[in-house]
Amino acid sequence: MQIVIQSTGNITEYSMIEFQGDLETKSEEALGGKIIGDLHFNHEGNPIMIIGHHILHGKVQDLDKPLVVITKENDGISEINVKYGVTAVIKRKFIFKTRPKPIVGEMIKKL
Amino acid sequence: MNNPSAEVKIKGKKMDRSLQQVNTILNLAKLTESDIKKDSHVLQFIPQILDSKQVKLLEVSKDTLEYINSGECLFIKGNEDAHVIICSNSNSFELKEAETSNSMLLMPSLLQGTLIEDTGSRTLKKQEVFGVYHTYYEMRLTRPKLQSLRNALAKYPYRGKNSEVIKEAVGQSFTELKVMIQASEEEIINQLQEMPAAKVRGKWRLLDVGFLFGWVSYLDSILREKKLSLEEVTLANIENWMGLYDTEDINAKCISLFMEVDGNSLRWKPEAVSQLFALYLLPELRAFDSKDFFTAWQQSMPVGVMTNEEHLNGVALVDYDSNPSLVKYLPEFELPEEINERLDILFRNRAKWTLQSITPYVQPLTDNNLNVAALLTKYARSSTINGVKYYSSKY
Repeated sequence: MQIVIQSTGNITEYSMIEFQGDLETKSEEALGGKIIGDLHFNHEGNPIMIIGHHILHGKVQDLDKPLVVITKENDGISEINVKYGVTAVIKRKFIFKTRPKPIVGEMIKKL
Repeated sequence: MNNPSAEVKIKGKKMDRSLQQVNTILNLAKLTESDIKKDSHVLQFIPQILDSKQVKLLEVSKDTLEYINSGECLFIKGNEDAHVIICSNSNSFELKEAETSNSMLLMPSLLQGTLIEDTGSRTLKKQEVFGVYHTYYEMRLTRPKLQSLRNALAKYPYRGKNSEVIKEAVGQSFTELKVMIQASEEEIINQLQEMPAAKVRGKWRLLDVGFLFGWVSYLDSILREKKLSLEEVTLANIENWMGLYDTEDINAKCISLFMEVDGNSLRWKPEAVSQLFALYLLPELRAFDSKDFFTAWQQSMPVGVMTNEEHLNGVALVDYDSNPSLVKYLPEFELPEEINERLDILFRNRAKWTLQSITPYVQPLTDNNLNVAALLTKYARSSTINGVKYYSSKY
């Protein structure tokens, strides 16, 4: 069995946010369509993210080794010749390594 | 003026997030608008987030990225065992899944964000997030698994054009080999060139040892008859004489296996020929009285080719401890590919090995990370006797 991976000819550059832990929704609903939070940048160019009642401080980091996004191409016919197209590449990420700090206050809107 | 509670529709989906709301949260986090840059982004998952069964992340080297950008393919080749190999046209890599406790949000470049609100001094953009990932795949350069190549080609050994019984072409096509063998195209081609294999009617097959022995012996008998040495004849002579023996392609392969061709001067390759003859003589009796063997071995050789015990490296073991001393048939290509299994058999056949004698058995298992000495240091034990280093079993 062989899986072929090939560029689709149109590779876009994606971005990525990496942080510790998992995202959770209020009532275990699907994540689709949900607002995650806000992303800002300070004047040094470092990203700041606010998710729920947490604030995270991060850095912009070039990846040592780029990541490519591969998407299965469903020809629907066979499981023998499976093909994935390379659709995007990630060369940089916004990484949040520090522990999220809780935001305290009465008027926090839970997202 | 912006209505603080205005709802802005983005692609039909209500985006009930405004700069005022964003700023409020910001302030609660003890930050002010002057602490941050003009553009703020609201991160929102797309309605149908990416399914990790359909869309995956693969870590590549910068060289591999260039390779992909040039339109070339990577091939993932699975097998019965757990090893999954991914190949470019020239290299083979182990494909491993890396899991992280972090979350990775995949999204387009921030420049792709759509505008929600712009006050002149501040803007709010919507940034789509395609999905969240916790795993990605890594590629680690490795040695290709080529033993299966020999096994595949040995199914229909070629014994000469006159021994071809079946009408249809048997063997493996190169296309079949590319799918079957966990190695890159280049590595497969190189191995096919080095090994006694040839394409017969479009399909690859292993050349039978008996056939090869016959080929060399036949040529040698012609030379003896004409009282000529190989050095005194030309390629054209050989192609001419062997033209009736077998096809042009097969003859060319045999020439490349057993002769050094330097312009128009020819020599037998002593190691290749000696090994061939040992491979032919030994399997009959797995262990040979060594005196008898060495005599028979030398006597059967073509004129001018001298055998050397070192030529048995990778083919047979000489056991001087037994009485009488024996030559034991132990060809490298019959040994398992897993290092511990292989070493176990080697050490059971002979307790202590010098580096030189064990190298041909261990060499095929090396890769970019571990050479022969490193492999032996890791999986075997070494000792020094009379200034000579020996390797033995770790257990």
